[in-house]
Amino acid sequence: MTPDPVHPPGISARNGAALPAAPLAPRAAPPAPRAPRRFTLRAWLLPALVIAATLALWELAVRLFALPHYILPAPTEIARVLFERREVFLKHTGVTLAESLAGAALGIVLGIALAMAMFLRSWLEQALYPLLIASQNVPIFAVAPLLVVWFGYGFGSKVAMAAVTVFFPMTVAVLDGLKRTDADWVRLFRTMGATRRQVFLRLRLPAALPALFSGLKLSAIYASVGAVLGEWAGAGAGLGYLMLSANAQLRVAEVFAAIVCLTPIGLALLGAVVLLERWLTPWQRISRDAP
Amino acid sequence: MSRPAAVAVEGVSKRFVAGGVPLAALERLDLHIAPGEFVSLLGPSGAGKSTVLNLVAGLESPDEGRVSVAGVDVGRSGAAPPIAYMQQKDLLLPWRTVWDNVLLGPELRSGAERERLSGRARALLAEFGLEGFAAAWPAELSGGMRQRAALIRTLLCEQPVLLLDEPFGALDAITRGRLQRHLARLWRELNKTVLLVTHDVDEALLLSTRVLLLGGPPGRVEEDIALPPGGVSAAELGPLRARVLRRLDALTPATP
Repeated sequence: MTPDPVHPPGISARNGAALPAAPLAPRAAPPAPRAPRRFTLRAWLLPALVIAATLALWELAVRLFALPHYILPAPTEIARVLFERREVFLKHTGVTLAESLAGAALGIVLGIALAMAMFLRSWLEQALYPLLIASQNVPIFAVAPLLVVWFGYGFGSKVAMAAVTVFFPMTVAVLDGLKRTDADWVRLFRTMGATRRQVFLRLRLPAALPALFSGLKLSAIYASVGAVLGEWAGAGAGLGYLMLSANAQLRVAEVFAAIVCLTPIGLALLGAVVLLERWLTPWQRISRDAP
Repeated sequence: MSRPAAVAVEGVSKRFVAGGVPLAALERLDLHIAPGEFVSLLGPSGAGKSTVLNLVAGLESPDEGRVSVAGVDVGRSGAAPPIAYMQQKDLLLPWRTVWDNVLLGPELRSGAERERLSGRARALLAEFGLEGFAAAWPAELSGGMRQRAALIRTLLCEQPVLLLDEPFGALDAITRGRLQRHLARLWRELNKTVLLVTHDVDEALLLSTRVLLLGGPPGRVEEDIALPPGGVSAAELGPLRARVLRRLDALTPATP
């Protein structure tokens, strides 16, 4: 068969049995190596400089204007308190951390379960979604004393408070994720004869993972806030309790020290979520880095 | 026609409501596609080409008339019709590797099916130049590679009828040409029935055994062009293309 001038280079006529079965493509080059994530010196240095500058200014201002320690203690004073009473702070940080972890776990599990139930049973969504939204108009603060009445002065009410804080963002994130599955994917699954169960387990759930992780990140940050609010409503331990009692005695440096202890709790939880996300959704990193 | 049609559309009407305005997408449409045919649907936007595919795929149901695939009414039995469906969007699942994506169809049937077709999957990946990318994520592939993976997924559904909705529409000319050549060879070798929706006149004329020109809305077959059994020759292509383009131009509503 002589070369056919009519056919564009890529096309062969369907009777072209004699056409060489040329390899489809010159072996496509593997994608360019991904750019290393930019944990450059600058990414760390800039925030560190800002923090250092703020602390220096703060220290300077306190000394220059001779501010009394019960109005604004100097950073060095806070550091001294932290160091001298480290065992006390460590103990109370542990309490708040435990409350945050338990509360986050409870709120996350309940949030995911409710989101799935509402997704699978639309009458449930119709019945509960307005209540869920309305409940967010109740200042979470107002609930805390009630929880102390119901769950006691100790661990239980703080866990409940952290769980209540986490529950709403978690439910909304997961429900949203389940709903936003691309309709074309659902159609593809249907043409493949997938059952409803398969569509849910193999399509909607994995497709909702990124949304679920957004919810988890918010939860990681809010859980300790909830725990501290719970402690403010009445507690015998924890960083919130420490803050209140120190504040009442005008030991303001201790209040600041407690705040300093609170930060790593949220950051640690957030870090754990980010690690989990990398492990469970490895493809996400790639899509983000892809050109 | 003694054999049952691979795809039969009989007196089918389909109406949609678009922006509050009812729109007849198809009106008493008839189509008969014999087993082993490669039929292309050409026509302006709004002629109901994709609606036809969706009806055959069982994704929509007709308001009137009946649609059957291999003699079985679509939607009547409740089971999905024996078709494999491919779109312009590759629809690869980002959380699955290429390997797990191409084997999605068999996997949804059973684990044993997935096992049975893994050898075939390996062979197809090699044939399409993707053997080094079985473990890659879709996000790591180029557009052409993704579309090849989608075509492999479609083939691994092992259905007798392939419904292709502008499968290569988003690709560059060279990649498109290569995939067209591949599709032509696969169609010959695998003895499939193909229903292709396309805007590319050359694609339709060079790949098909029959080209249907659709007009509308409501969609109707304006012309049924049977192509020579041996394929369109060099001498025939030019005049055919000119004729089809003239007809398409006449069928396309004038823009105000």
